[in-house]
Amino acid sequence: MTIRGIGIDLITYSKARKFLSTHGREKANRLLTASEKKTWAAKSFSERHFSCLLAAKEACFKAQNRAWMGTQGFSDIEVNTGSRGEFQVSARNSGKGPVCRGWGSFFSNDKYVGAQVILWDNTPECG
Amino acid sequence: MEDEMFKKIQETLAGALGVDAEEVELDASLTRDLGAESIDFIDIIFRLEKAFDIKIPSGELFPGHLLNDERYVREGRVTPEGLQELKIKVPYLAVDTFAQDPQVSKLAEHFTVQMVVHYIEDRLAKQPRS
Repeated sequence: MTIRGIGIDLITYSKARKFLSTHGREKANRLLTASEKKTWAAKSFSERHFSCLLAAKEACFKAQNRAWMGTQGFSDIEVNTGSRGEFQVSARNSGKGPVCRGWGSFFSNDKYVGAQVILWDNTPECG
Repeated sequence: MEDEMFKKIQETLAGALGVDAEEVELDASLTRDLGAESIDFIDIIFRLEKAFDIKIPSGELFPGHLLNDERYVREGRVTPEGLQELKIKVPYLAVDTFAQDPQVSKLAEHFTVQMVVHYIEDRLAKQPRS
């Protein structure tokens, strides 16, 4: 198993708040996987939660060294958060294709949340 | 009409990126000059859809998915085949400029205001007139 890449990203809470207030929960849902939608439907969908998901997905995307993720790219990456500020990710290629897996951790202050992730190439054709 | 459309695009981009409308010049890069990140591109798409009452399919305005194809990318750089595909599928993008240093990670730097204007012009021209 080799390292595919590492990625890091910061999302300000104000940016996530603005996105949610402009476009609402329905549009935000287009960036989530089916499983994430279920998880977040069961909890209150706060800007802080949303910021964490975006930061983790963007960090994972950067670890893949791709051009631009788009709505499909966001919903191709699934984030499972733990209770100690850690998370696991799995990334698919355009809704199909092999899965890359990785793990990471969050860091934050009162203005932003950051995510750092390491992604593993666990299949030779992982793309 | 063109001025009106450009003004609407300027306001839309300024609102999404938190900049003054005057900063949204035609040759401005959305990332390098106006500070856009991935989430901002999503925000821009949703805002343009609302402002112009259109649906923008995934990857049509801002490409990226094309380069998930391994035929089009080698060692982090877009291949000649990939550049050709970008020219065909994304005629709004200044592919010749990008081709000077076709690193995949730099593609978004070539997403400009001009590109958005061309895309919207084209979309509106193709819409049936009521």
